[in-house]
Amino acid sequence: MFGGNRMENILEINNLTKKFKNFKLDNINFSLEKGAVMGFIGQNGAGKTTTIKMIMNGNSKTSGTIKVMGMDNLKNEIEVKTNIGYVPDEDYFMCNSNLRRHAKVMKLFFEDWDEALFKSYISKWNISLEQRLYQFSKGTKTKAMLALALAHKPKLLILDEPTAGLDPVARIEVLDLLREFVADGERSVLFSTHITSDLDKIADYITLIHKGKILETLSVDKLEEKYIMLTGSIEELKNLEEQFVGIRKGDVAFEGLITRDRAQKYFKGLKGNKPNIENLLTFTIWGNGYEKNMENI
Amino acid sequence: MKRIWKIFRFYFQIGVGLLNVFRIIMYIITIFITVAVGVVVMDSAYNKQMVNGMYSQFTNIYNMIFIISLGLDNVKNTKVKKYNNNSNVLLSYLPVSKKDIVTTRFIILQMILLPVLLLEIFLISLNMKIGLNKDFCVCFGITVIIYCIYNVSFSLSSGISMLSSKKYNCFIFQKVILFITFYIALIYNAYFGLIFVNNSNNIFSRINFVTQIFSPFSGLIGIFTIIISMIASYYLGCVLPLKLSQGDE
Repeated sequence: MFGGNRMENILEINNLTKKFKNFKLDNINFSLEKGAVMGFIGQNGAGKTTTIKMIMNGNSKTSGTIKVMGMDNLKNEIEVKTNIGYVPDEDYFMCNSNLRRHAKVMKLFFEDWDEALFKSYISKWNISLEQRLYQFSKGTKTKAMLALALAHKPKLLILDEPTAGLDPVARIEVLDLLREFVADGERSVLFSTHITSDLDKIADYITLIHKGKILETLSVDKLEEKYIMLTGSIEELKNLEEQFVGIRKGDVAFEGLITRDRAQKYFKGLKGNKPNIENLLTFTIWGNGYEKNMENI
Repeated sequence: MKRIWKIFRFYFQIGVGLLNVFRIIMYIITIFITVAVGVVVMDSAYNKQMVNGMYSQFTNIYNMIFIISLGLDNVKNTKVKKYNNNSNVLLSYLPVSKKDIVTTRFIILQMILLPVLLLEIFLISLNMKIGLNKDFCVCFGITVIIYCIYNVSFSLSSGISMLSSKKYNCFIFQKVILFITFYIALIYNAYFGLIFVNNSNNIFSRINFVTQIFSPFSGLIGIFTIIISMIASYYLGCVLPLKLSQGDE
């Protein structure tokens, strides 16, 4: 739990469980404080989109609670959704309609709808209001969904793979926009993505989900405090693979993610690098004997 | 109620403008046909003489409703080819409850069927008032049954998205029902005269007993059947989808 004070959390997920036939989202716990950007990372099928859909009450839950701004997402569904701006991984557009019509219907439901703000995003990204939406590229659709999500001034922005279809320039623009969004310290972003380099630029916290379980939730600052990337020759490894969170070995060299305590204890002479979010994601998932190591940390 | 009105406006405004015009025109034509059928049936009932092709006019009403329902892909859970044509996805992210969404969908589908419902009630009342002969009773009875099947199938296909998926494509009820009603209409209309000719040598008189089973539905039993179909429709269109969404997927 971040922030210490519950009132400061904009999103709180406690003991969230969802059973499917072949998959279980198992006892998910994490929270997001106001003014922060949280990266929600994991492999395909790890449970990211399912968790997000449950926040939006698109999927039912088996047990657990989801609170947005202190309100239960089921009991206060309308208030909760009013305060959430959501950009899903697949677009929700009516293919034969246009963006003007979509904005028009969104206005019906959001009292805080800011037409000028919407138009500013549309002109900034050069998106046509009249063009049929099936003619839009994936990137343009994502930008359009972002414009719609931001125009009703949400308190929490939930983005599911938003930068996947964007060109590099648009990606940087979107990341800047998210930084601006949380700048006042009252609004937050939950950002699910595979492009971890985006998170390196903007994320304050990282939540790592794997096979329906939360493996790690930590601040990006703590990532560097807690872990280190070690590289060295196989001889230097001294058969201590088990001490690593995750390791990749070649014939002559190895590379692995390890806690700083253990690095200090077992590999004092080895040089290390600061890990990034991609290292955390890949090494924890690839890691040999991962579970054993994590339990001991 | 305010939220239901908003959802209603959402469905109407999000679609292509021309499609909305098409829907309205089709609905007006349906009302005209319904009124015309009502007037013709009333005249022929008072004259105790069935008008040739009357049944096919009933079929026309159902065909019109079917065409309107085709234009309601955004209300029903339909995915057209690779493109999304389902506004319910967007609606599920907006600040409205699932209950409001399914209730509005139910109301819209009932509104489409409203002209036929009124016609059926009018015909049953007419029959109860002046006591029509068995030809009329069979004809009215069949239309009551078709109305009930339409009503239930509309709710079923709009309420349960699974039935609109590719896997369950065969359950696209309206298409199946259109097909059946079309053929019943063809056979019934073409051999109408022959079925009820009092001639035991006529092969169609042998299936006369089949058509007779519809006769009771032109009376009070028809009213009860309509009420039961509406309750079933409400359950399938409003209650069941909410229960399914609460259960495990």
